[in-house]
Amino acid sequence: MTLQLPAWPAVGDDLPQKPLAPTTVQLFLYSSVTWNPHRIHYDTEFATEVEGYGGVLVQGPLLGGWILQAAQEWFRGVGRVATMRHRSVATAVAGDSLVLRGRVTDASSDGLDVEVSIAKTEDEDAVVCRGTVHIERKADADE
Amino acid sequence: MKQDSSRNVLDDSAHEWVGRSVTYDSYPVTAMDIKKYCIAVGIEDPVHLDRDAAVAAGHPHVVAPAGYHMAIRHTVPNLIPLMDLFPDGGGPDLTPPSRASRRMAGESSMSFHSDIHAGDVITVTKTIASLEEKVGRAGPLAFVTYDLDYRDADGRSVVTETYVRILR
Repeated sequence: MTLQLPAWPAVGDDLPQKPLAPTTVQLFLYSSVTWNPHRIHYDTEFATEVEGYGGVLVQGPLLGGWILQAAQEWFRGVGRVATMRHRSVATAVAGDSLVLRGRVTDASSDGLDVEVSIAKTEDEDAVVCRGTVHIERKADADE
Repeated sequence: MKQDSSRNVLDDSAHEWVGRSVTYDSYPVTAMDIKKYCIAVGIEDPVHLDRDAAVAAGHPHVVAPAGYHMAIRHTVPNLIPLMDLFPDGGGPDLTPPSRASRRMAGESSMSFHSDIHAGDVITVTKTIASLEEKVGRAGPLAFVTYDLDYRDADGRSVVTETYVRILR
């Protein structure tokens, strides 16, 4: 599935949503490729009984990685991700059903800003991560 | 103003750590490592997975997706002997001395200056930029702000990043 936009968006536009369904397998692979030995991401008993979380935690950088993935899909061929800022505001765990949303909030001479949130599917106010991406418009991009 | 240090998370000696910097082992970027990252995140664009697709799109080799540098960021400080890891699996990773029992990721802010490709060798330097103590709803917190600089073999900065670690 691609999120690629049919045309350059305007301020206020909502961008295509991306559903996310992190599993223990995905979190394990992300910990593996990032060489992350922290047990809260793969040891369910440790994450729940020792640390008191609802399951194994989705890695903060993976949430950031999803924001960047969506930004690259939205603007494939027409814009480049110049900067990204993100922070976790609540925990997400394996088994959660999540939705990534983006909205164009500002436009400048070189591109635009997109505010992104990742929230629980069942409650769009249950945001787990917020981010802002600045997209530079490619000079050779078609209108 | 001197705070009551009994309420602080950081040890007094932590403040000597501001400005400390580590340059880690250089990280050789391979097409296979980029593919592992893409599979773990769920990225399917062939320019990140297939050399022919990348070359057809004008890249010299498979191009890493934005965000791949976070695999480098997490790997290089944790390449330490098993016995040096904490019981929860975490590593010391340039964390100033404190009585904190938990570490959490705070805000991260990154700028992408140029693409990373398979074949590049990336060297990360991490510096403690500042320390801040606050009292939150759940008690005292400390914020450790790191500046990270990712450079290629020619010394060009490809990504710069500011990363906040929260201690409590």
